[in-house]
Amino acid sequence: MIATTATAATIVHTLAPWRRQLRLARCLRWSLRGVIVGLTAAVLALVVGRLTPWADASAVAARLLGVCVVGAALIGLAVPVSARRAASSADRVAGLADRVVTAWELRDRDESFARLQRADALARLRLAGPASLQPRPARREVIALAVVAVMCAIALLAPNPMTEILRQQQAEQARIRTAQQQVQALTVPKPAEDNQPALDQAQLDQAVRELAQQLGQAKDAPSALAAISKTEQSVRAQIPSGGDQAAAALGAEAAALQQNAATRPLGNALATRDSASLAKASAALQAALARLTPAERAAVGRALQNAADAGTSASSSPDAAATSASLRAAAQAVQQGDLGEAGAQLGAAQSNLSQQLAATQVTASAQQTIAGLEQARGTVSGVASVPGSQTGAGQGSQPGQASAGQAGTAASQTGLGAGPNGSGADQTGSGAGQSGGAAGDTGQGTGSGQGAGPGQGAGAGDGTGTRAGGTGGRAASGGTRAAEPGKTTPGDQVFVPGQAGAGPSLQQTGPAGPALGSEVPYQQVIGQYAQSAREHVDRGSLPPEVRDLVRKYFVGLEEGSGQ
Amino acid sequence: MMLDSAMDVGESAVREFVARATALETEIAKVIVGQREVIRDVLVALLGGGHVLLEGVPGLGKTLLVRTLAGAVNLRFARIQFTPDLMPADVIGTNVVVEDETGQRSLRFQAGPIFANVVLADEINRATPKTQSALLEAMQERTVSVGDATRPLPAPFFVLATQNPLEMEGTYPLPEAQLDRFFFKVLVPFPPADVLRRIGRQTIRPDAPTVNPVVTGDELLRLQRVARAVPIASHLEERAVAIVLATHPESELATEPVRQFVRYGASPRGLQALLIGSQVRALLDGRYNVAGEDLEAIAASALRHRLILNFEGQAEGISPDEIVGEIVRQTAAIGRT
Repeated sequence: MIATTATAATIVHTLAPWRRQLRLARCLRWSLRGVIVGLTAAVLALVVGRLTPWADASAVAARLLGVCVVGAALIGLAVPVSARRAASSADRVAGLADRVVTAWELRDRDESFARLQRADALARLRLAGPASLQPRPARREVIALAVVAVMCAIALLAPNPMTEILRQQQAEQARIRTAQQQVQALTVPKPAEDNQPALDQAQLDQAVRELAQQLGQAKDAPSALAAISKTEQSVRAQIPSGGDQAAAALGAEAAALQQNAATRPLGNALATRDSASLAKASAALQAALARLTPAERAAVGRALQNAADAGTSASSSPDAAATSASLRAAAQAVQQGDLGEAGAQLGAAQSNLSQQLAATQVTASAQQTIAGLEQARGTVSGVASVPGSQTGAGQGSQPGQASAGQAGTAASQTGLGAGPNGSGADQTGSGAGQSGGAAGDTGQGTGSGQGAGPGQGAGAGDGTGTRAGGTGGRAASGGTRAAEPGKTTPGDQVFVPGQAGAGPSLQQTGPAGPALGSEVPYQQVIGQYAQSAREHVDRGSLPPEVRDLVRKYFVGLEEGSGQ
Repeated sequence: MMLDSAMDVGESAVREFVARATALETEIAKVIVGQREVIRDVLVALLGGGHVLLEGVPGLGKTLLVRTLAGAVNLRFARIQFTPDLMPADVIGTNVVVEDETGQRSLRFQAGPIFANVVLADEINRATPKTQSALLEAMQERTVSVGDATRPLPAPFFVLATQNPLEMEGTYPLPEAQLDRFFFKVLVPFPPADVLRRIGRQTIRPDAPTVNPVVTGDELLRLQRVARAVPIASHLEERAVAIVLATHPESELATEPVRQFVRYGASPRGLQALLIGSQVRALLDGRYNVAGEDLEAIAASALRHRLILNFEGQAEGISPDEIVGEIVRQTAAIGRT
């Protein structure tokens, strides 16, 4: 006799283990599908990563796979298994000949036949148990999994042609970041110079900060170089005309004034570019004139006269001329004992000197900024090498033939040279270097001259060479005015267009290159070097603008050699 | 079809069904050696209240099977040998003039052999269509109309017809309407060697086995009612409907062979045969519900004579059983999810 008291609740209860097992089986099946879909998506991502430079392709592929698997598993777990489905599965898996699903449909019927049927179905269902419900993946799913797994393995293991490009891009980005840091370092607040107009310094800092921002957003080297060039042009525009001559005149005047004890404080103030000290020294000198003996006044007058003469000879700028005129008038008044006139003229001279000091400071700051920008440009261009590893002066002249440029007027400003971006070919040196100043201060100089080849680099300074095959520091020869390409003559100093350093030039002929001590006529080597440079430039991975620069440079040299 | 009859059938009734059916099957098997599937199909049709068309070459025991069945159910049996000159009146009976004791003459209906519980229509395709048609009303309505009078046939009423598929000369193939009245068309196959050996051994003995009646007419009717109460799950009903629809070439469910070789598919009687036959088979297997395997097992017997092949199908020698088998396979997934 079959117990016929089975109810709907009994059926649901008996089906519960089957439903759990089915849910687990569904989760596994969906997970398998998720693996298939995820692997397919991963393969697509990896293929895209092989067609275009995509650094995150592998990471994205892994994430896609994970998301698909987890998502599919969650779907499999989240979707509930209905009792009817569980009944149907139990019938199919346990071979119960549709007993359970029929019992589920008859769960609310009370006829004898329905009760008999339910009891029979439940009895057999309990005997079967859900253990027989083992998840088996469909054959097509297994095949699909195998196919996409093989494809994924191939996509992962086969050499990726984009790897080298990605490495280059990463290196480029690293250089841009380094350049950004270099540029940001330029904006570090500096002690305000009393005699430097605050507006000019603020403009410089603003330009540098904007450049740092642009570099932070730059995606490639060309855009970074373009930003640097634009900023450099902007900074150059802020350099007052005649700034270099003003610095030279100030230096000469300071030296002349330092010759006399009474005017020495004035000279020292000029030498240190200290406007406040200059004003104090001027006032002190005016006060002291009355106490001086006639001989002393005569000596002071001569010192002032010498300073005026030195200024006139060093610079022909209107400011320098005005200063010299005031100094001469003051010298004359002092010698004539007209102390009132002497004081007035000294005041006027002090005023003019202060203006010259300001112009000099603006020029120095701008040139320092430009030097930093050049360094950043070199970093972005990727032609920088290990600091300090370069030898040879940026002037690239023949050993012993480098000529000094205009001397800087202050020891602390040495080595401030800036030139356009140099290119580092094997035989064409160009570089940037930080040079040590003659007075121990570190002047940041960018030697941008192109060496004319082995053995032609001259000078090895304290600076840091930052261009491959390029030049070393400018300490030894900084401040030399660059010779324009095309205007060089054999044996002349060779520079790319650049700015003269503002610091004093300590002309040192550095150790020669391989051909140390031997002189080779310029015309004999320039053609060979130019050809070699062109070949290397064409072969290399230099930015276009650097290539053009190198080509123009050698064109200029060759034209110069023909003249 | 979920207990729609609201018939309350107890466990005892089910057990009685199984016992009687088993006894009937055993009793027939005493005489009929082998042919288990044929016996099972005939029993299913008998318990389902339908008629059977047995088709097989001569000598396979078709007539013996029917005679044995009739003996086992303890019902009135009649055999009609169909011949070309057989007339409808020879089957259903006729009015004859009789004279009573007073000399008064009157018409009296003389019942034909159709008025039996189990009728064997032997070689039914040898009779003319006119005579064959005489069976139409009897098989479907279980009544016979002669003149103005309609007379009911005894219950239960069970027609078993036989036909020979080889000797087609001088025969009249049954029309579709006539074929559709048969619940099942059962093919009687040639027995395999071991069965033949047993047939030979059993039939040459002097003491031939005798058949004892194990089921009465009333019991048979009760068993038929019990069978109709077997529940069928909804997805199996859907599958049965899909199977029938798939036999029609214009149906969306039609298989490619159906579209190519079938002119017309099964009628609703085919669906009835599928469902009722499945119910009986479920009980015979000791189940209280119809299963998909029941549908699959009886689909050929229920549908093969209801598929009307087109010319291409006939020319190609397409077997309706193949077409039905394909349909059954195609509909296997219905209700699985």
